Amino acid sequence: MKSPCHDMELLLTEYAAGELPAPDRDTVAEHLAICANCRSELQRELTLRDLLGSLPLQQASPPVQPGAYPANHRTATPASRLQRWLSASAGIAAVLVLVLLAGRFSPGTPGAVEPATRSAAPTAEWTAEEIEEAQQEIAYSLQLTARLLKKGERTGFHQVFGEKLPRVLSDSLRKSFHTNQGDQG
Amino acid sequence: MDPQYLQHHLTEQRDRLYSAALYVLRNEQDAEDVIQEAFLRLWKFPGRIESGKIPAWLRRVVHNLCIDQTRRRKTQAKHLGRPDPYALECLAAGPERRPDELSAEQDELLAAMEALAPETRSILVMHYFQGMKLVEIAEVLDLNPSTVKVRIHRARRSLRRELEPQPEAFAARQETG
Repeated sequence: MKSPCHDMELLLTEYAAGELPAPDRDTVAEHLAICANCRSELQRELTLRDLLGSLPLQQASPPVQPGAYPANHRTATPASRLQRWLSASAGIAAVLVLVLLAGRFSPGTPGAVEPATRSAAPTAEWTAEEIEEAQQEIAYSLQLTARLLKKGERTGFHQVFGEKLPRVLSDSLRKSFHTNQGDQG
Repeated sequence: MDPQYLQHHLTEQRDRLYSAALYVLRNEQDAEDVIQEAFLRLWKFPGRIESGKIPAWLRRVVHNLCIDQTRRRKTQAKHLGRPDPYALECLAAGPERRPDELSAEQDELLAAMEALAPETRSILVMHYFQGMKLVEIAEVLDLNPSTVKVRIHRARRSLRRELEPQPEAFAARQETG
């Protein structure tokens, strides 16, 4: 069953906005004079109006200029996000392969081959100079790959893998971030 | 469509619509996506919309896109255990930032509004923030004006429950009412 004030409360938004025609406005005013509940409801309406009405204007990114989009442009939809994720994943997968290789050749890391067992490992035929050269090659490739990742992807990558990232990759990502910042500046 | 006219609307309305979308969605990136999509649609269909109707058309598109975006987020939230590109983007963007210059009361109110349906949130923002009359909202959204009135009334009641949860106050109101 509707409250006796229900009809009045429905009119309060227009009443507070000054949009209510004269006959209804007078009826509401007369009711408000005798009903404390509706006066409280009007106060809530005024508070809502004040808080939402005084929300600051926020600035969007620079405006889209006519002609700025190529014909095949698509905005960020879930599908395009998925594509971006897949392309980022491909990059990440490449990085991980390199990480595994780096781990294999980096002394002191859990996956590294110790000198004592190196004779039985496939790397036994590698000279120290070749290993060092390979490590430099991997580090350079990591840096290049990391630079292909966007800032958001790099951060997301960090947050997904956290502290599991080997130092060589963390360094590359960090360096690439600073390099990209420098490029932009 | 006259590029100068379009440019005028882009600059004049962009921030206002973006702010409205931001206050409905409470996510900067989502609001940016919505505004970008709305203006892209405007640009893709030159001549289809009469110049004088562009503002109302944009408001309706932004309203619908905000609802779509909210539903999409809910759907994505259900897909736990899968790599979620949206979640990663949010993580990458850092903790959700409170828009500039909001008072504590405004922030609390916007947070409470998240309990409302996105359609209702958008109507509240249209009326109170964008200053649209109830009849204008009804016209833009192709609704009966009474429907808009009822939704705002119900929203006010829901917000009261969210923001004033004291049972004593409610009981006192029941007794006096």
